[in-house]
Amino acid sequence: MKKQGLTSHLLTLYILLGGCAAYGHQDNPWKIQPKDEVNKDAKLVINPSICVVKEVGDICQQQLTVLFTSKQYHDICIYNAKDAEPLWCDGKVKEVSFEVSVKVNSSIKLLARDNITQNVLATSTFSLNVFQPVKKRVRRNYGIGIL
Amino acid sequence: MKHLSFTLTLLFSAWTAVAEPTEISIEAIDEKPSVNEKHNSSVIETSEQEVGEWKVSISLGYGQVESIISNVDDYDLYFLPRVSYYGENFFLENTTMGYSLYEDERFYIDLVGRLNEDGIYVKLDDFGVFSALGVQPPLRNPRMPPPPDVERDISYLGGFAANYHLSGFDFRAGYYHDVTDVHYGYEADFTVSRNFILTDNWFLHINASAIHKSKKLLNYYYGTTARESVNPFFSYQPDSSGINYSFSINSEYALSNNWAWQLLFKRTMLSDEITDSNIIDTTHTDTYFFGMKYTF
Repeated sequence: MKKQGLTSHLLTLYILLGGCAAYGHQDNPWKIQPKDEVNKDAKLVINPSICVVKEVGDICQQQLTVLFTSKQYHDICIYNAKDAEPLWCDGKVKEVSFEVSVKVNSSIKLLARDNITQNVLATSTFSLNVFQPVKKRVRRNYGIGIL
Repeated sequence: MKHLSFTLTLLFSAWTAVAEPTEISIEAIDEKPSVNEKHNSSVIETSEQEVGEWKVSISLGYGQVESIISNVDDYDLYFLPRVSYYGENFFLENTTMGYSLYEDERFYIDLVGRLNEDGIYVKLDDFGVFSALGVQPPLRNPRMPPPPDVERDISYLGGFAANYHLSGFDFRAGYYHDVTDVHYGYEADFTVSRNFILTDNWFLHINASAIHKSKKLLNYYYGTTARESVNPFFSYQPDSSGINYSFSINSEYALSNNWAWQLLFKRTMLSDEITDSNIIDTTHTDTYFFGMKYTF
């Protein structure tokens, strides 16, 4: 009459399925990684990289530090991804940092290009985020009576 | 000396030229700005719900509600609907509804209306949700006919509940009185529960309760008159109130924003005042369900 056996079987099955699913979500070490066009030897870092605004369209005015590092010397130009004209260029650079003052209402993406080959060496994004706090209430968890 | 001062001046100028960072400015005001909108969201059920949001889900799988009444078999569950809504003060969770009189992060007091579960057990064989499945279960013991004319109504209880959140645990104490003039009794409960976030996708909710049931309530659902008993000698009237103890777990493993594995299990230890009744043939009852949940 009481299905104790079935209950314990269901519990075991649930734990096994959960374990399998958790294992399945791990990164597959044999997976072929897609080739990234960006040169891995170079890095472009924007600090700070996020500006939080109250509403879409609000302007963020901020002073940023941009750091370019590379294992090799390059003639580089830094571009705003939306513009064809470079923001700044320099020759035979391995590591350089510069200040950028921004007054934007949209996220911007900076590219570091090799001035000779025109290859993109590194990219980085300064993103504008609108934080919309959602009002939440604690769930009472009354269930469905018998459950 | 002249040469030295000239050299130093030149070196200093060169040094300041190198040390001073180049300053660039970007000014871009877009008509359609590209901005990330950040919300606090999670694929798993959390202990909170967004105000104004309806949550509707249906679970498909298999489970059982073990009947506590003699001659009424356990009920198979194949689907489990759930609905919840939280407004500014009002809330609805399946058959429970409430209005918060006071609420802060840790403490809240609610006016609560909820279905009495004794009525559900007694009416299990013609409870709409289960009958809708078209399944009429066979009698547990077909040789013994059910007691004639044992009719009980489902009751709805109304009262207050005070909740306190401390060190990850939720404590709730409540008092609920019959508001449907069915048995004029009451229930008082004390519940301790806790949410465990096991992984990004997996959560577990554990709940333990003690439910005090009044003598009037027990007498209505579990007392039997001589006319109702198969043998008039075996009529039963509980002589006091009683306390049921229950333990439940609810676990979900989210596969996506909509789909999740779900496991529910609840064991209720019945009070002596219930188990002594001649229409009860068990000391405890289990309810469980395992299946796939889809959230709309």
